[in-house]
Amino acid sequence: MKSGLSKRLEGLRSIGLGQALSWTLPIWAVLIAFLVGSVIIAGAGANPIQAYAALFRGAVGNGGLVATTLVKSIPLMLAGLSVVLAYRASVFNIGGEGQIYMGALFAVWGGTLLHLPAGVHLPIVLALGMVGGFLWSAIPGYLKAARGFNEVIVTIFMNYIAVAIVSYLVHGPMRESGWNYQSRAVDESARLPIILPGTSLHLGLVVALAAAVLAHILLFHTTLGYRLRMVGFNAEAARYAGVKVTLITVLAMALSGALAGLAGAVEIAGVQFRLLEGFSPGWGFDAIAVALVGQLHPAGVLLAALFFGALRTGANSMQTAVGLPMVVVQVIQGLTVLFMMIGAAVQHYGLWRPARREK
Amino acid sequence: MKRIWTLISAVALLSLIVSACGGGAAPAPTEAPAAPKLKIAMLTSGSVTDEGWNQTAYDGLLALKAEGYEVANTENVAQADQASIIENYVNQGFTVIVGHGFEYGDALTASATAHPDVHFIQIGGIATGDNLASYVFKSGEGGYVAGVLASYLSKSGKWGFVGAVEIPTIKADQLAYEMALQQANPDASVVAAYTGSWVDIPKAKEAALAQISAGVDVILANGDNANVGAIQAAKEKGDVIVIGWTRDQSHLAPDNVALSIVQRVDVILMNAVADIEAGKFKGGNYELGFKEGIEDISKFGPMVPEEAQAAVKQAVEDLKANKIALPPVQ
Amino acid sequence: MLETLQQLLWSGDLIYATLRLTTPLLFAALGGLMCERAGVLNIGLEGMMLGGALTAYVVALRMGNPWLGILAALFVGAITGLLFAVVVVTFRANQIVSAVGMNILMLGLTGVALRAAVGLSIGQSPAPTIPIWEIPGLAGLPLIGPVLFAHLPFVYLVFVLAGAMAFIFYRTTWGLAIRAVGENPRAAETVGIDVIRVRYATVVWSGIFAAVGGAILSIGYLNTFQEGLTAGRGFIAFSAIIFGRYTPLGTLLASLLFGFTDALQLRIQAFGVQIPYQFLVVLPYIVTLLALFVAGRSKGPAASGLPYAPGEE
Repeated sequence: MKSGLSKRLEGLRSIGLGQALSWTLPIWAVLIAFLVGSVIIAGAGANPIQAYAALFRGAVGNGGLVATTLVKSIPLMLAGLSVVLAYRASVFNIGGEGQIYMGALFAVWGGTLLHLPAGVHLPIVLALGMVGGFLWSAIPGYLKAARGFNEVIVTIFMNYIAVAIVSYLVHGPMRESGWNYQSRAVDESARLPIILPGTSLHLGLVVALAAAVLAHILLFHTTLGYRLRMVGFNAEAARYAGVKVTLITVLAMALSGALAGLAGAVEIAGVQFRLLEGFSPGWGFDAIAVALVGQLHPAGVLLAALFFGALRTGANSMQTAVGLPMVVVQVIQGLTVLFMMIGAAVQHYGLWRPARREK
Repeated sequence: MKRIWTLISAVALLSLIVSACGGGAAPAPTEAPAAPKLKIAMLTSGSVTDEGWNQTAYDGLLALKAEGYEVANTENVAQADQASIIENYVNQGFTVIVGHGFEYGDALTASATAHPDVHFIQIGGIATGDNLASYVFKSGEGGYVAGVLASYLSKSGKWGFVGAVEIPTIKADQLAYEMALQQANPDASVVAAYTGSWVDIPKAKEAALAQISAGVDVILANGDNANVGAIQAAKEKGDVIVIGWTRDQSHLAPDNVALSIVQRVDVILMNAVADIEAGKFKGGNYELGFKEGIEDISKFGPMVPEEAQAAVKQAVEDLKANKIALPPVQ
Repeated sequence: MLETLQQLLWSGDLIYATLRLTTPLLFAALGGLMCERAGVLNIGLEGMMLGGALTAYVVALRMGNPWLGILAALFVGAITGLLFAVVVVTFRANQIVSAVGMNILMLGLTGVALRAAVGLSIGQSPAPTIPIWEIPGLAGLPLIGPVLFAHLPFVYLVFVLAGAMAFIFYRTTWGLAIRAVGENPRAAETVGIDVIRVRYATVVWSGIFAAVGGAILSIGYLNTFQEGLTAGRGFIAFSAIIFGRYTPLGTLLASLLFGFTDALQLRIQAFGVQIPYQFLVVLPYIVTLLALFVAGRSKGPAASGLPYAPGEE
């Protein structure tokens, strides 16, 4: 256990934890990703300039599109914050996807089975979403802390299991009567109101911003946050200083799960209202990219989520303009992550030098 | 030093934005022709080369394109992206939006309310509105015909059904298929398997092989990509017969595919577009089947005896005449 | 019920299917094991498999020869492995997150490349496939012949490779070097092992192995490719390494358990057992988790996940 944690320390330093990275780093990563992406786009027989122009126009070309970009960023913001909390304590939560599904499931339960007055219903539904994500992440958290399980494989497996549970429920017990394999829609009182009339922008944005502020306060202005970062930065030192490392680890995982669950609940209460089999397009994995491009900082996560949200929103315009499939934005996302990681590592270690050969 | 990098970053970002905007200005709007032709956009949740549900829809879209309409499509649409993609097409001036699947119900309903001047079409669902028409295939008709045919083809008395993910249309046809088999042979044993994934072709093949090893020798394949896997399994085993779905799949294995139940999405779209142009388009829920010419059967494979062909044709006539009581949608 | 269960377990088909389902997994897992023993975690196996699957399909389709497809997949696998090595060995970027990025990238790249190379209009053109190879003499044996000795050539190959890997790991200086680099790169360097070179080599090999695993799916087992065809098999391979306690034999057994459970669940469905299919399709994950629970923790190489810079202290 001891060596296991000190190992993580080194692994995490290479993603820039515990040091001030230049804030321009993500910008460079994005630019280089777009540059390399343009080569790939050209290779696929399309004009990169046209493609990017269409992407840009499709993402922020008018007020409605900006609102759409914001709406698409909301789940990424919350899920990205979830990743930040876990990674700051050096817990690799790859289970965001499953936790999002569980959060959505609990939110739909609260939104369809409870019938409460507006003003009470919505907060309860969102809280239930957090409970769902919390419970689902507590399992790998416990297995890691108590039994020494590798959280990476447990959380990956639990993603599949969560998706299967939701699939079963919307086919059977939770199925809306009639034709469709989907749950009922949550009550009006459980929905997030639109905050910009004429668009789809809902109150979830405020929820996400508040979550970011709270996460920031938690991480940087509370004892718990201090301990959490201490465990992430140097578990040995933390233990020496009397921090209950195991407890903090479980707590970080659980908080992370709660935030991912909230992401699912906000998407239910703000956009989709009901649960279907293909509820999430992979936010759990995109969130890892968002958190890292956001330099594991709440404010950075907000900006990174906006960027990824814009990519997703603009993707369709790019497809209609130059005929590239929408997955091309995944090329850009993947490249951004890779260049971001390279940049962070270079800032931490300096450029690699060949070995000094003795003799 | 750091400031310089900051400055360079900012300049680079700006230049990117500027170049993007510059590029954006290039395609200037052309002057509108006198009678603007309809512009049709289609959303599918899967890949349009799946040899199944999504490709059938794409075929329909291509048929419209051949008629001179401007068309566009987006494949692999995630649930969460439906509304914004529809919105995007409306903004680009598309006047007919097609959502191909039950899962588009909510997104189409909301968009139809927001854009009363745009026509919306859903295939495989039941959402309706003034400017939103939903077309569903009469539940179970295709499955019933497949069952009638299958009852003639099995030597072992064991039949299989391979699907990808259980969704309404697929389940209804599975039930009708089982009903037809049981009517022909009360002791018929029918097993069904779902792989749980729209894209996992290897697993669909494995599911079919598992059924074959349990004695099944006739399989109805109904699950987009899953069909490809099931047909490959039959081909590998040689003497196993598959009934295909949504489009003529005999080219995948001419000696194994006995028949395909064909869903004429192209006809649905052609008719809807003609209605729109004639000002006759009415929102609502339409159930279409053999009678309307929307469901159809392909050519028979070489292994289908005359007797079975006649029975299938009779079943189609019976369905057209509403003589068959199909199992209700569960 | 009992009778069907008996029929299920005694039919050679279950064993045959287990071997068939295990092979692509095991290829990827063995590759991952190699670089894992040298201290590099590779969750990018999923993306590398996808790349191999696509390349093999496109080349086999265009050239009309499945073996050229395999060859091309080897090449692309080596390139992806090399790129990953540049990121995590040379630049020392975080291995887990870089691999997540790699997977996202490969999913996008294969989607774009499929459309660019094959187009939209023709559906799934069947590519020529690798034929089954019946081992002369053995395939004719009663009972076990058709079950064990009538497979794709890769099925035999992967078991041979697993054995060879055990030999290499524990009986050769090369294997000793790999293990030393994974346990204590500093010490390895002091005895003259080129840590960077060992890590590069193993990561490139992991790319090649994973690509073959993907190619088996697209043109060995099937004759086609679709976006996301590997459907998570790379993640399963990654977990088989950990579950298999970082040894070739353990990884082999873990992959077999996974292949067996998957073959079993599809057969349970085929026997018409009334369990919602959603629970059956996740049976392999549940069984693996339970097995992990029983087996307890598995300790990886000490330097697993750690970047290394030669000549520094």
